Amino acid sequence: MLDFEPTEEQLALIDTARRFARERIIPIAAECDRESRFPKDVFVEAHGIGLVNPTVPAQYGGAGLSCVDETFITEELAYGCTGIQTSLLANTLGLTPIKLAGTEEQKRKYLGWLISEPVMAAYATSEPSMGSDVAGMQCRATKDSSGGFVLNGTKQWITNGTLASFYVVFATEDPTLKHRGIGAFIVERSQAGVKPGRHEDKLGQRASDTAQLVLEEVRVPARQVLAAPGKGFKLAMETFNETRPDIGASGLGLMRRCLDECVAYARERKAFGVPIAEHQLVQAMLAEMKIRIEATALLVRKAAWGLDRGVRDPVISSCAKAYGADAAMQTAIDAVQVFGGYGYVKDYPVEKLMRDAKILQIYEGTAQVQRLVIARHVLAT
Amino acid sequence: MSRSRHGFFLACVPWACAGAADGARDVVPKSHDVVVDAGGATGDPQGYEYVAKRTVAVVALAEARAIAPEVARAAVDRLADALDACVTERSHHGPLVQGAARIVAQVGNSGAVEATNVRIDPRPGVAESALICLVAPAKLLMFPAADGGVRGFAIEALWGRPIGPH
Repeated sequence: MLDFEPTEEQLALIDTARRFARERIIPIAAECDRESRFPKDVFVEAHGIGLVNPTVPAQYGGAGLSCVDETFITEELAYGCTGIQTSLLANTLGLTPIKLAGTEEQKRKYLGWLISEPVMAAYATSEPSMGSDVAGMQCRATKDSSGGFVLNGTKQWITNGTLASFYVVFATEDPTLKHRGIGAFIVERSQAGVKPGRHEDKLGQRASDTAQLVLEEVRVPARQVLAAPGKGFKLAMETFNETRPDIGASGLGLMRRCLDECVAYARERKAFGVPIAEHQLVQAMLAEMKIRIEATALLVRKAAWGLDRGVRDPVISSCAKAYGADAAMQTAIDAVQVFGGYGYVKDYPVEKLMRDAKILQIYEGTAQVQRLVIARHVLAT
Repeated sequence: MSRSRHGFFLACVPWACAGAADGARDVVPKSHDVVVDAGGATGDPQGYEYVAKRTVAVVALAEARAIAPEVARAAVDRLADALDACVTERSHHGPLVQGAARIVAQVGNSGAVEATNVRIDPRPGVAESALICLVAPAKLLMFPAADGGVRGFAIEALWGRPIGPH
């Protein structure tokens, strides 16, 4: 049986996230974008009201919310600013591999840490020479005599790289082994040899913290090995399978913002003696925005609903991510078009929405990689 | 969870409801499960199995199924403590939010709260305090592990105004 009605608890969650976006994110979004600054005080507040780490199970102190619940939070915060939302919710990317593959000790320590303190976790697969091609990573993990590993290499485009208290780092024991050589390791920021780089000066989502992470002779004890070499690639893919629907949800929030801004503007702005909302070509753009919003919502909820039921379906996760990101990009471009010249200047919010939307087609697997995943499954059946 | 002898037609705590004379609502209009008994004026549980009153919070146990009474009462006391402390703490950073909610929760074999059905007073701002101060602590409750059988509890809570003598 299908049910599209959110529960009362979900409605309360949506209300809470929506109020937070309206009161704490929207008022500072333009300033944070301009200054390329992540507002850490907002993270602390979001943590305090349970909007961060929503999927941490109750046994580790978390709210134990579902993936569907998290898409609601993501959507509402993204309505305010996808840059701030990305950094606020990036802990989910860092904690998911621990939730999926961690030992009980690792879960208690690291998931518990995320709940008890407003700290950040980061997920590190990309490198200067590879991103979506995870199997092509060069960062080395060399086994030592104590059962631990020594990590050397550089990670790139790490969300919350300068702010995180610990990282889930993927590294290979031998690059020639490709996916068969990759392992996953929990690395604490305080460990010797961990060197976060500078905050990247980006086109969009400038309020999210993105940085390089240099690892020089970082000694990872056995208790911090999350996945032994050979098991890390699968863990990385399973993590993306869980988190990709959230990118669609982020696009969903951004599109809703585009539509609201455009509707308000189109009712006010006049051309040829009437509000531009009365011109059918403008109406068509608004209608297309609405169609994309509804279609993305269905894909995102279906993907998250499946995950909550333990249904492993990377195709739906990729569809939600790919379609949601592309729809957001097109919608933001159209929003600038509706605003005309005013859409091209920083006095109005839609140019930021267009810059912010672009990265949705790139991070957590490019739009092209999503299509490879989808095509592989389509052709295999 | 099946219905108790009260069914789900539960009266909220009368002495707390009586404070709503300013026109504010204490119940969830959308819900047909919660009925205000504004006529009562005593501090008695009025059909609840147990009531825990704190300075600005009250939690009433409507039903505990397959949970020992003393365990259920201890859980309600913990919830009332958490709700009272949380609402008080939040009032230091903004206005004291008044609200009401009810939770029906299923307890798994491990003793963890596994599923909840929540009804929340729909007034602005109540949802956030309900989620943070009541629903979250309720989900963190742990009961003794047990094999088989449906276990659970139903509670109603009010918060945000002085509750009266303890």
